[in-house]
Amino acid sequence: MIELQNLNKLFNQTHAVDDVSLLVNSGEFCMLIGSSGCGKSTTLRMINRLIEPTSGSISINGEDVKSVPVEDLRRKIGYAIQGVGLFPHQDIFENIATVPKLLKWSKTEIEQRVEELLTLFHLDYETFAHKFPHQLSGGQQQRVGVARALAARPELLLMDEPFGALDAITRNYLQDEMLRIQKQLNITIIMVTHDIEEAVKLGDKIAVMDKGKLLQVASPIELMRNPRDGFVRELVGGDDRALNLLSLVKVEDVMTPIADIGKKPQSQHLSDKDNLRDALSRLLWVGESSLPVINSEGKIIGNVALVDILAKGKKQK
Amino acid sequence: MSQLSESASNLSSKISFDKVDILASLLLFFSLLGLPILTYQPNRLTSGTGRYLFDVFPGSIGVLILAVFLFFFFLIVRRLSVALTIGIIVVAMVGLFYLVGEGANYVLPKDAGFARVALGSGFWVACLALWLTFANNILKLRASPLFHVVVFIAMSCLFGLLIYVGLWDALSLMKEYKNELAFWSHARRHLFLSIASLVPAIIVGIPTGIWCSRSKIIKAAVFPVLNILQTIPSIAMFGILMIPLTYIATNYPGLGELGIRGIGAAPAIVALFFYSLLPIVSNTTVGLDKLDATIVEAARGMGMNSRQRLFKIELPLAAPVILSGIRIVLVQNIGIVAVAGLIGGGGFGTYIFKGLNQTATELVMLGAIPTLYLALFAAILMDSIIGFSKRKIDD
Ligand SMILES: Nc1ncnc2c1ncn2[C@@H]1O[C@H](COP(=O)(O)OP(=O)(O)OP(=O)(O)O)[C@@H](O)[C@H]1O
Ligand SMILES: [Mg+2]
Repeated sequence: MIELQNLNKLFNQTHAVDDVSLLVNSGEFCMLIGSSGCGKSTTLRMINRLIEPTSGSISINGEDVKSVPVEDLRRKIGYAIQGVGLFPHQDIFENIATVPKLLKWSKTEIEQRVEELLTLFHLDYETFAHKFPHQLSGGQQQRVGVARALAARPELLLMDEPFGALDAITRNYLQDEMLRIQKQLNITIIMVTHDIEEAVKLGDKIAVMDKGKLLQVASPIELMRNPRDGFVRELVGGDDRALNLLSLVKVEDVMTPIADIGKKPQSQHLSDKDNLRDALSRLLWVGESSLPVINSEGKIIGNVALVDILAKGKKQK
Repeated sequence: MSQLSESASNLSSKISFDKVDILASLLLFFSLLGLPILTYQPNRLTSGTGRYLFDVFPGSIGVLILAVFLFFFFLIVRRLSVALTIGIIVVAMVGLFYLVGEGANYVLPKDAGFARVALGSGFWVACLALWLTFANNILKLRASPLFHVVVFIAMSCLFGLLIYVGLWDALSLMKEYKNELAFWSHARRHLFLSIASLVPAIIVGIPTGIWCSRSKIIKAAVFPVLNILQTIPSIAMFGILMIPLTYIATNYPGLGELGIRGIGAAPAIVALFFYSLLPIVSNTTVGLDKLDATIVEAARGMGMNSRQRLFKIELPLAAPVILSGIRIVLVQNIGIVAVAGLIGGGGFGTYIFKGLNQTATELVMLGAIPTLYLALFAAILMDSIIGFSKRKIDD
């Protein structure tokens, strides 16, 4: 559990972070969102004390971050940075091994851990361990960056716009990876983003910031349904709002189950784990008003009609 | 259409020539034809008269030699494989060395007396031309940085051997060499002075550079001083240093006995130390200041303390820039040490100033050529080290 209490940061005249209080529970994926310059990075960097707050306090599991030596604190917190920041003169193995080496793990422990992490991120050990960062694609570098942050099994991972510089397909893929890994490792993640879609997709909890102030903290659905007036409404209330809402709901939640399960699907179908946004898109594309739904074994388990989806995207009062 | 452009590019690759090779070959040819390859001096101190290729080797032999070099010229420009071209250039170099060494015997009268034969401008220009095309072709191999050092040493051994077996014994340069029994001790002295000042400059300069990159105030205080030091001419610097050093030597005889004196090695080393500081300090500072901020931030965020960051991340990444500072200093020192000959510091400068006093050009050469050679070797060696330090950082 991470608790920020009345956090303030002044850079000369700029009030970069203005009285921010936020509680993130263990195992939660918390997204920190806001426009450029609103103080997201500053807030994040105060957690691992790269920046010292002007006033206020931060505690992790009830323990003030100031009560441990700063280097020890940082070695316990994973940090994946905006722009990766891999060490160009070290190979992937050495990069990932950075914190374990600082913590004086044994050689075999480190080797095992690096292999484990590369496997976790679907990077082949033989191929990648002894390559240098410039030999990797942007997406691969970013995965190594996250793997490096996770090397010493931190319980808390801070990520500052880790996928900002990637193309849409790679970003999407890495977002799915993050969801999987967060579930698998059961860690707490605080991630900075300025992309509402990313926030909705990844976050258990979204904290919206503007001009240094924390405006609203809520679950994605809550934020979509009841955004505060002003900046938050603007943020979620674009033309995409209904679509964002749909992307939070799975097909299996709205489908009408059918009796004779097990029939083989025809050419066009949806999958039970698809979200409604994708389902809508598919329906429109193939020009059908309803499509069968299959499960992971490829068997038809129900039907979804256009009207069911449209009902979910409507404003609810 | 594509076939057409392909055959056009084939054609152009067939008739395209390497500009450097052509220029060098032309230079080689005309220097042999139009400049004296040797000079004849009735005695050691008079200025000589030029001897052209056809003066030295009259008639058909001269024509034959010219024809052989024309053939070399043709082969070099033909762009055979790079390795073959390099081989031909080396053969041409050996030929040129042999030519002047053998030619000196022809020019020298039998009862030579005081008469001397020195290398002429034609030889030097031809040498330069061959070196140019040699370096040009070596670079085309795109070999590892270490390879350049190996090539340089191999070439040194080859031509050193030619001279050692007596190929140039008839030349004035070698006669001066044989007179100067202290040549190799001066060589060691020159090397010692160049490096003795470099080591303390590195020990002081790099930490100062680190300090300057950490604090603007220190930087503002240190750089003007180093800049002023750098602009003092070397002779003036030796003069300035003589005063305190002489004072120390006369008041503390013990120190004087250790070599701390107004003339000799002490002022040379101190002066070179001062000259070495600016390039090392400024390159260290710039190298550290220019580091990618996200990399340093990542290191900090992962819990490296400032010492770990410095040694594991910052210095290794700034190494190429710091090493180029050291390269500047080393090459510069080898040059300035020659000036130290004037104040009795020893080294090759001794011959340069002795030669200037006696107006004995070949004695000047005996000092200048090894100095130039050392500087060139230092530059190639350092470039190789710098190349090595860069290899991992970028492609
Ligand atoms: N070291 C610093 N010195 C002075 N001002 C700073 C410093 N770091 C940040 N600021 C200012 O604080 C404010 C918040 O910066 P911060 O980096 O937290 O923004 P951000 O929300 O992360 O923006 P972005 O999305 O562009 O990364 C900005 O106005 C910025 O100019
Ligand atoms: Mg930021």
